[in-house]
Amino acid sequence: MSAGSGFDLKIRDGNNEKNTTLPTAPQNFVTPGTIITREPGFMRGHGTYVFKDGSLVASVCGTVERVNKLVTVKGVGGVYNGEVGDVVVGRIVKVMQKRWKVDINAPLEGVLLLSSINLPSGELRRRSAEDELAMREILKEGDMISAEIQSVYNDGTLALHTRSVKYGKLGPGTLIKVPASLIKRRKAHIHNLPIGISVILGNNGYIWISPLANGRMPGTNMEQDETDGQKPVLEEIKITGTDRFAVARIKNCVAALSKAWLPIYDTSLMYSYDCSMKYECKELLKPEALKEIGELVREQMSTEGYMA
Amino acid sequence: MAEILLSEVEKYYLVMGVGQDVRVDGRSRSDYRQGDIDLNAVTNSHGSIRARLGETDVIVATKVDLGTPDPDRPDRGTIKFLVDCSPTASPDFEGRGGDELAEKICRILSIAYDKSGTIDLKNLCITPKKYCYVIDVDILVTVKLVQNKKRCSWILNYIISKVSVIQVLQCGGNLIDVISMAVKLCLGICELPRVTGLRYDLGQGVPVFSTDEFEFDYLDVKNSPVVVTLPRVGRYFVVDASLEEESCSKGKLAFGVTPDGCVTSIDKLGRGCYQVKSIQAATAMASTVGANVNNTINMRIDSLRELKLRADPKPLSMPMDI
Repeated sequence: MSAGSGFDLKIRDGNNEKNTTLPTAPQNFVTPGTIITREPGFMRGHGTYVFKDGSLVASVCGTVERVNKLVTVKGVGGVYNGEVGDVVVGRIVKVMQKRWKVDINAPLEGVLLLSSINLPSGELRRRSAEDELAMREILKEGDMISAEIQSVYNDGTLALHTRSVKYGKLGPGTLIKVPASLIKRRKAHIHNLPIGISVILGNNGYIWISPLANGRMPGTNMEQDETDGQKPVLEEIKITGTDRFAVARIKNCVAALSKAWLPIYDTSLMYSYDCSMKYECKELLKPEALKEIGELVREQMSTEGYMA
Repeated sequence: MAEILLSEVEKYYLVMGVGQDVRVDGRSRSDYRQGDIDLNAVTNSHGSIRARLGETDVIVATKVDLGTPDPDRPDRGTIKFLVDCSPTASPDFEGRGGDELAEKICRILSIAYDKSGTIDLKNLCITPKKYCYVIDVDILVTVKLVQNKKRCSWILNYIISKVSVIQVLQCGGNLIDVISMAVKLCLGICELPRVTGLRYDLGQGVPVFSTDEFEFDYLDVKNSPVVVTLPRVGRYFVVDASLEEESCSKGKLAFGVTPDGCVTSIDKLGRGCYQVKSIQAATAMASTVGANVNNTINMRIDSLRELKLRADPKPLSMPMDI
């Protein structure tokens, strides 16, 4: 037992806290209140509004993008606003009649309708009253799910669905929250990394790290009738120490990327994992280690190009 | 402290991990995270420290006053603790919710410091039965600093006041640990103005303090205890629990430990029952971990004292910068 031998308290010197490695702001960068244009004839998109004298003003921090007559400001940071097709990781917060309310880090809770999930037994049938009463057996408060955004209601509420074998209730693992804007929209969000760990990069900023394939609880959400009629038992899932260390290392790498404000996707995650191998897993919790990994990854990404 | 909503699968992963000695962030059961300290967070006190560890953020400030000793202990000075848990630290602290926790923490600190051998309170006595130093330790756990009702000059203050507030700025699972560490640091850098003589006023001898800012004594806090909280997660105890780990725990044991591993107090917090063997195991763990932590803090106190001497004394009219 190491008996707390690594305990350290650093005395902070206020002057050293200044961040000297900030990248320069790109062109067309605006802050809320900046007048984008005074010329009439432009259509306003997201992130802008029309001031009373007719000028177009930015309402968020970000870069101005113009497509013909449409002007939008693509925000940096800020709260998550879902779009159809996004993969999200969420936590069930309420069980209601025929639907579940899901916390997905958005202004409004997401909605998962009973008709939008695959029944655990894999049957394809109309949902009955008994199904409604048995909702808590499928998903209860606190459960984690991965889902896709099916549609957006008028008030901005996001409707989710898990109608694919990739999505559904998540199995043992751990959650880490990062700012939603660090997760870019890509083709795939559920990655089974070569180190035996699966990572779900939810567009909403919730990242699920788990040693199971696709992060999912085995035995739930069958697409076809391939169940042998048994409910999945949590206690039978055994996770080894090596897997746990890998999960912890990925979790700390995500924290490093988030702290350095770098986009998080599978390549940047694997870069940071490789860079972190020189530290022991728990040493990654130190702020200096996080900073170093962030800088190494930033360097590597800028030399190889962000889309590598 | 706030309990967060966790799924069964997360709890299972966490608890099984603790059993295998691999916690969610890779630490072992007896590892602390790294913390940091800021000196002089509050400018109009005799010494103040802001300490951060994980999600917890605490400010402690000490004020030294002239007071009358306790009639039961006429030859000792007193140290008073006061904790303020403001609602900004956690929704549990809304209304009177924070007061219960605050009282508990005060009690734990008082008991831990009460044992003879930790701090020699006799040094705080000026005139037996009549005058003694009263050190008020303020612990702050909110973003907004509450008071410091009186702007007192640190040299001439004859009013007995109880403005000690340990305010909790943000609340993680290791709250009491961080508070006790910050308190020890703060008492370590607390400057007691030296008494240069007695002034006889109507037959009463009133102590006169030195007006030289650099004439002061430090308290000897080498042996004072640090609290190590051990929540029980599953069948094992963990040190420095995160919020998630605390939500999976049933009850905690808080041990006051001195630098040589001696346990000065044990407190049980929350709901839970323990077998004697568990308590013995926890005591052993707290003893080793606590001794380590305490020795690190002793080293930090020395460096802080040097830092303070080197830094320019701040004028009293400066706004408090936190």
